[in-house]
Amino acid sequence: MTDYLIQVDVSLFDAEVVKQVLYKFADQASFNLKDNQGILDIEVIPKDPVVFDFNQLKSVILDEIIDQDLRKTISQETNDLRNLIIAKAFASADLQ
Amino acid sequence: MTSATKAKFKSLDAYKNAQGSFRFLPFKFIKLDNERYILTNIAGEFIVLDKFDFNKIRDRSLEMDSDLYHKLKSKHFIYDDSSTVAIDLLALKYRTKQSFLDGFTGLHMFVVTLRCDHSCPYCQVSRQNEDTEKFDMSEEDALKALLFTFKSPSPLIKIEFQGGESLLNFKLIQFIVLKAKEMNQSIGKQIQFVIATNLSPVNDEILDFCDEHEILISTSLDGPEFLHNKNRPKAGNDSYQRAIAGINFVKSKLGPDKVSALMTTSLESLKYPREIIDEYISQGFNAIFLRSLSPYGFAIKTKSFDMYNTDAWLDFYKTSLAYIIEINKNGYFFVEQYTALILQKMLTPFATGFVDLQSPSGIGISAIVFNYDGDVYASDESRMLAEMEDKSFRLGNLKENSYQEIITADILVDALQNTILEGVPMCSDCAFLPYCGSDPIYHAATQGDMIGHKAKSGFCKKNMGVFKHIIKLLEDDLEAREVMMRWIRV
Amino acid sequence: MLKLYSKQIKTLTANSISEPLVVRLSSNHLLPIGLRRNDFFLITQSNIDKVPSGFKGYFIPEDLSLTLGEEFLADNVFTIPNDQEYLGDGDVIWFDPNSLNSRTIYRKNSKHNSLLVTERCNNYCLMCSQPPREINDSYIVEHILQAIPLMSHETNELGITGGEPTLLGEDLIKIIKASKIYLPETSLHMLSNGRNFADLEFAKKVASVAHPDFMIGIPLYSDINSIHDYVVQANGAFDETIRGILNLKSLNQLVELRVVIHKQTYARLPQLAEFITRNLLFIDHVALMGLEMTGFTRTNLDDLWIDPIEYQKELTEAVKIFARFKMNTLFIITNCV
Repeated sequence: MTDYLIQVDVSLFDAEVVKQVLYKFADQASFNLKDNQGILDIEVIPKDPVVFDFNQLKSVILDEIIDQDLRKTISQETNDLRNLIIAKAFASADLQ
Repeated sequence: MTSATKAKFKSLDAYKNAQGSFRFLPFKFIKLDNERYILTNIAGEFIVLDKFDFNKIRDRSLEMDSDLYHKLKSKHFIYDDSSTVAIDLLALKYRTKQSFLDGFTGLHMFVVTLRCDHSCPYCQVSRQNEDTEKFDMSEEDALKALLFTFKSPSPLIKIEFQGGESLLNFKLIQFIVLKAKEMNQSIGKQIQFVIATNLSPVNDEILDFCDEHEILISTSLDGPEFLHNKNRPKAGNDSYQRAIAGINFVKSKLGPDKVSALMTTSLESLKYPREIIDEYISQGFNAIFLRSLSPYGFAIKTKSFDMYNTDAWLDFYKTSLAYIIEINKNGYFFVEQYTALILQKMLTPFATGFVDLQSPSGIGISAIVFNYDGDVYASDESRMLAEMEDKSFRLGNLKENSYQEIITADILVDALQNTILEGVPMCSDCAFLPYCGSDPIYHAATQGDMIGHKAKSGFCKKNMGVFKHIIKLLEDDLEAREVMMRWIRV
Repeated sequence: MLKLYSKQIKTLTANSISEPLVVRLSSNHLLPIGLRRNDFFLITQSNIDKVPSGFKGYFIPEDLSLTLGEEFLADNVFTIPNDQEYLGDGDVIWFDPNSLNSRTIYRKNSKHNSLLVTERCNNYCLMCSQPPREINDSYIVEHILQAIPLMSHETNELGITGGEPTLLGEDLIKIIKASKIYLPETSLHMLSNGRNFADLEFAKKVASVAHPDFMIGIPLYSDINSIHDYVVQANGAFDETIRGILNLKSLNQLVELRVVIHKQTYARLPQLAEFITRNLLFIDHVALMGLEMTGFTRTNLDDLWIDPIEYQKELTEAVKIFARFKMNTLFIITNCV
């Protein structure tokens, strides 16, 4: 087991949401995911161990998961509307 | 009578949303700093909320008809059953923002020669032997390029002459200008000519021709003498003197508005933000474009180098911008054009046709390059990349391929399809999507593929930094905001 | 204020006109005979000694009628009361010789001729200066269509107002067409709440008249629908007005936005300005207006009144935003109290 572990309850947060967040931190660390009976174990492997601050990264990632979850909700709730707006946009005339 | 009449009027409450619930309109958000969030809607309108207010959205405890509710409603982030016209307005605004797509290939660059009298380290394309005419474009290719140019559906055609040092092949420039005008007689498009030149070969004959044909001059000015000459080495070490003499010569013969200057940012430049701006002002310019470090020519193929330099560039940008804002506050109107472009995206309903910040990518759509040897490239940068042995953005050759073949080249179609930010990881839910672009050639040069991993992208880091900085200035510094608002062209 | 109607007209000589009519007045005693038979001659101090024959009828101010010589024996001479003495050469009125009522439709020397085309309205604005009436006033259109050909070609601007002019439907289009045909040099300006232009077909009909100089002034009171709807006392009015504006602009129709500033609208003026510059930048003109102390304003004074000095900050900020986007903006304070 690694020194650096983040655990996320997948009954609260979609694994997809977690992965999207981890993607954003690929410049700082690699991540190894394991399903651990409803808990997602995220093993964090720093890119540059010298400047690595695990607690700081962990806190940012956890905040970001909450935000990413909201992004998913907004995106799901507004997806039809978004398509409608874009369809309307290209069907309408130019105003000047 | 009065009270009887009065009874006919209903109260404000009677017109409020009866249902008592709101719905989201499509929007994205990102942290501005530890205390605040930036929210952007589909048409690029933004608002900044502190955590406290943002959490009211998150947990839907927003009070009906509170100031915050009205703010979100007015800027089209939420709506309720009492009004749905926001959807019509958003559609219209979205369309306006996308209207840069309508023009299709306005800018056509003609590389009339690769010969050059300079040997700038950041330039990968030029040839120092000025007499080798094998690096000149032929009249035959120039004609083919013109035929190609006039096939563009765009009503405004911009023809820019590039090099090498373009004026070393002034004969071909003359040929192209005259032919273009002749061909256009039956087509009737609006044509604008620009010569990009270091101005060292400029003379009366050239400027008389420019005057007659309303040709604009775009030149290079990297900063004060020591910096300019260091960036742009030339036999005799007189690049700066020649550029300044040239600028003044053009101003006196064509008028001050006919010459503009472009700055290339080298690592050395990053040390001299104030000196560069002072130089631009003392040469009478009212604007500067703080360009990013070019990954072409430098050995920036490693991403750590790219990221490190992005931080250095951001510091340079912030220092420069603060200095420029100070100069404006003191009464001299001077615009930082990259900021102005982004302000245009953020604060106006208009589209901006700036290639680097377009989605899908502007390559081939907003610009196309005819190289001296007839090769056609999707942008000036793709020609640079080709000189670094990566010809992936070569669309074809004028001698071998038809317009159709070139404009539908696989690489171009791929680039268009893959660079729509809505489909790019990290970009798709980034709040800055309405302002950003996808520079496929940059990412090909630095990461080896057109899209790149944005967490490792200097392009992403740079623009994130710029967007956040601009929004912070708009929110936190009223005086800076006043200055920047004056930069928006309406 | 001028009294634009009269019930005090009297017959002086035999009356041979049986039907009400829309008629132009002339005080030019040298008017070619061929033109006289349709016009009324307006007798004044300066032409009383050379009153010509051949006019359809004659108007004479009451006090002047005493000095009219006995030798003047034309039919259809009427006296007009003193409050109608403003009538002048080229004016057009509606006159009923039976009931002896008149209404002034057009005054040649006025710079502000406005045709009230209906008193009906689908809004019920808190500060309406012309409180609407739910009456059948369709006869007005007939009068106006008869009056327009009689108006001077030199008329600079002609207004169309109400009530809500678009409630006339096809009849409104007839009025706009008549203005285009008979008054090709005259700017036409219509005040409408814009709601009926949410019907694209109707908007197309109006725009397709292609009047060369026709502006529609449409009020927008808030960037928030519930506030706008409250001010105009109509649910859904905001959405219809905005859709109407979008339709009109998609047809290249000139549109002016009109904002009346009062207690319900001043606070969000800067936000309204931002909303307009972001969403409706293609609008041709913006008019910001102070409150007029007429009509319903008095009824609702408590809900409306705010001293203009108290909204300087909001007004200045709004004007600055419009100026930044180079919108054509005008601030009109009508009657300060």
